[in-house]
Formats: sequence, C-alpha cells, structure tokens
Amino acid sequence: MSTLTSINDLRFGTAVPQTVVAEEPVSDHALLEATRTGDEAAFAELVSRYRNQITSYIYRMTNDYDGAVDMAQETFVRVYQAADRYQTSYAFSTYIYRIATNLAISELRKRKRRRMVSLTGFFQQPEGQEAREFNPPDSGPLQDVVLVDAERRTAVARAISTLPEKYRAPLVLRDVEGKSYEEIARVLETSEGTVKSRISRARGFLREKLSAYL
Amino acid sequence: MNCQNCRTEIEEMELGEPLTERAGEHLASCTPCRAFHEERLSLRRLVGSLEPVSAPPDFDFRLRARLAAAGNGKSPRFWRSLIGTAPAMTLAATFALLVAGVVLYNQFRSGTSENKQASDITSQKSNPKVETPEVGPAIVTAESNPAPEVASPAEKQKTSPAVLTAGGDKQRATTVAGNRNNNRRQQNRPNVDGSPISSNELAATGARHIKPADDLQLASNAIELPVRSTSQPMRVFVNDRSGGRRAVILEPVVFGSQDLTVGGGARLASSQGIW
Repeated sequence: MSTLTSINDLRFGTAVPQTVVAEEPVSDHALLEATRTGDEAAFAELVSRYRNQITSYIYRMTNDYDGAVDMAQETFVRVYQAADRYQTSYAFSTYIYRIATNLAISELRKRKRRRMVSLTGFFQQPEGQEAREFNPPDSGPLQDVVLVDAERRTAVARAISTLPEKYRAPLVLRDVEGKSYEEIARVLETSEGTVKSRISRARGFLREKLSAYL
Repeated sequence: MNCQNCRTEIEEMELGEPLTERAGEHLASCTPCRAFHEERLSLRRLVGSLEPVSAPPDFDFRLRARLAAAGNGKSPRFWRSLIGTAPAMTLAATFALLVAGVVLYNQFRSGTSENKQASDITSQKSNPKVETPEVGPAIVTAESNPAPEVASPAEKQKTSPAVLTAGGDKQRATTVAGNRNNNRRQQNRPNVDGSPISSNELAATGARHIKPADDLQLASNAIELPVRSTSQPMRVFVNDRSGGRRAVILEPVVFGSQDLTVGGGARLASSQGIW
C-alpha cells in the first residue's frame, strides 16, 4: 500500500489517457442535407456560420442595419424553404450570397420606385454625379484618432451606398467580403470579365468620392 | 508590359499579394502607373477597413418565429405566387366568380319572390275555404253536372243576397250573420292555428258547418266556380241523385277594399276582383 505524500496523490478513479481527435467541421452541404431531413440543429449551425456575414454584406449593400437584419432573416427563411431544391453543384456560400444579393438589389429597386426620402439620401446624388460630402474632412488638426477613423468609415459606407447597384454588389463582395472573382461571378450569375470591369468602374467612382481620404 | 496590362494586373491583384516581376519593372519606370498603384492600394485598404457588423443577439429567436410564421402561412404564399405569376388569369377567374355570384343571387331572389307570390295566392285561395266560411268559396260539390248557370237579373232581384240555400226538404239554409263588412278585414287575415280571433271589436265565431244531405253524394274533386263576377249575387243550379234540382245562390264575394256608394250598395273597387 502506497503512502500519500501530497493532496495531488489523491485520485478518484484511474486516470485514462484521452486521445484528442480533431473533429473535421461538417461541410455546409452536409448541414443542408441534414436540414432536409428535419434536423433543426443542422440548420441552426448553418445560421450561426453565416448570419454575421450575410447581415454585414446586406448592410454594406443597403446601408440600413434594421433592413439588413430583416433581409438576412428572409435569406435564411428562403434557404430553409428551398432546402429540398438545393443543388450541390456550387458552394453553399455562393448560393446564400446569391439569395442575399437578390434580396438587397430588390430592396434597392423598391426604394428607388418609392422614392423614399431618407436623411442620408438628401446628401446623395444621382448616378454618375458627384456627391456632396455629408461629412467633409476637417482640414484642421484632429485630436482624436478614433473619431477620425469613425468619420472615415462613415464616409466610405456612404460613398458605397451611392454606387449604382450593379457596381455596388461586386465591389462589396470583392473589397469588403474578400470573395474571388470566380465566386462573385457565380453569385451575380455573370461572367468574370463583367465582374472585373464593374469592380474597376466602381473603384473609379469611389476614388472620386473619397479623394479627400486617399 | 504596357500601362494597360499593368493597371489590369493592379486591379485584379489580391491585397498583400506582390505584383509580377514584369509589372514591377513597369512601375519602376512609369510614374502614372505607380501613382495608380498607390491610389488603388489606398482605396482598397480604405474600403477594407470597414468593420463587419454583427447580427443582433435575438437573430436566431426572431428567425425561428419567422420560420414558424412562414410555415403556417403557406396558403397566402400560394395565392400570392399565383397572382404574381398569372395576374390575367386570376383577374379573369375573379370576374367569372363575381358574375356567377350575381347570377345566382338574382335567381335566388326571383325564386324567393315567386314563391312568396305563389304562397300569397294560395293563402288567398285557401283562407276563405277553411277559415272564413262566411265569405266562403263558391265551391259546389255535387255528383251531377256542375256547370253553373248565372241567374238572370230578374231572379237576382227575387233572391236575397245574404242567403245560401240547399234544396229539398232536407235543405238547410245558413244565414250569414250581419256586420260582415266590419269583420271582413279580420277574416281575411290568415288564422294559422284556427283559434278564434280574440279581438274585442272584431270578434267572430266560426260559421256553422253545412252537412250535405244523404242523397247528395259529394264528388271526389271539388269544382271551383268562377267568382270573377259583378257585385250581383250568382245563382247556381245543382242536380242531385234523386233528380231534384237545387238552386244555390252565391252571394257576391268581395275581397279587399270596398267603395261604399250612395244607397248602401257596395261595389268592387276592382272590376277583376283582384286587389
């Protein structure tokens, strides 16, 4: 019988060495396949993976947080309802970004038809025209760096929101979301050449609007 | 490498990814392309500096509620999609349903009014027969030929207008009580349960039953005599089985309003007997 020399020698049961097995993350396709069979946990996992991305993407497209959340939810509702018709030929991210893009563009067109009067829209210009600066850069010395960054981000967001929708979506997908040209082309259901051309044009617009910050 | 190719490469490059060697050589020798490169890098960093926003904490909860609502509302979604896909067809179907509804409604209304009219006529015919024998129907039930004969004006003068007679020694006469004009309106009202009318002023008791004589065999079918006559009494002759002939004087039956003329006579307000 061994003698206890310290409290660390007191063990409850036999220690079993556990091998740590790195679990491979379940693919989006597998999660959607499980969603088809009624596995709500699988759908919840899909939502947790993409809710922030989709909300952020739609917010950059529409510059309206509440509307972006609403449309992000509508995106997931459509994914859930169309789970049976989903085809695994493309990545799930392409599929869900396409739905989100269509919703966002549809909302932008609705706003255009309704001619909604918004506070920010008052400072926006029609397509192709120079926008007046809502927050013109202060030429004087600024004390607070955080304030400067916040102002710059606001200006960039507003500049993006003034872009025509056909330039806005590829620019956000490329420069904000970091998607590849190939994926953007699949999301927008157009050619890569068109995507590159539109992104270049969008950057040209932004350079004019944000010249004070460059 | 020319400027266009170099700028295309600058546009398509990933952030942080170095340019190709040929593009680098071009940039070293081309100031505008170098400025373009710096400007594009700055712009992309600026746009990329936008912080991603997060979904609200109650995103999942709201999504579940939305999914539940969408699951319950499948039929409105179906109609919405139907209207969206085939608006002309939907409009035509709606119009057809509307027209069909109007036609059915009109048919229902006309049927109701016809039934009401028919029931009114029936009640007008049946009320005098059953419940108001005093102004009773001109029905003669006899085995013999019931062809009526309208009395001549001379005979009309002889007969009393208020007497209904059935001939022979067994004939029984029923005298209709007076004050008929006072009770007429009350009598014309349908008395559904057959109970005596409880009005103090217009109270009337039922008339006595006229039992047919033993030698008078009633026909199975009643013969309805035309009552569309003038205000004069009508005389009908009926042959019984024993060969006797009986004269029945039918008092003029007046329905509806009367116009009292000078001299106490009454004439029909309507010559057709229809009011």
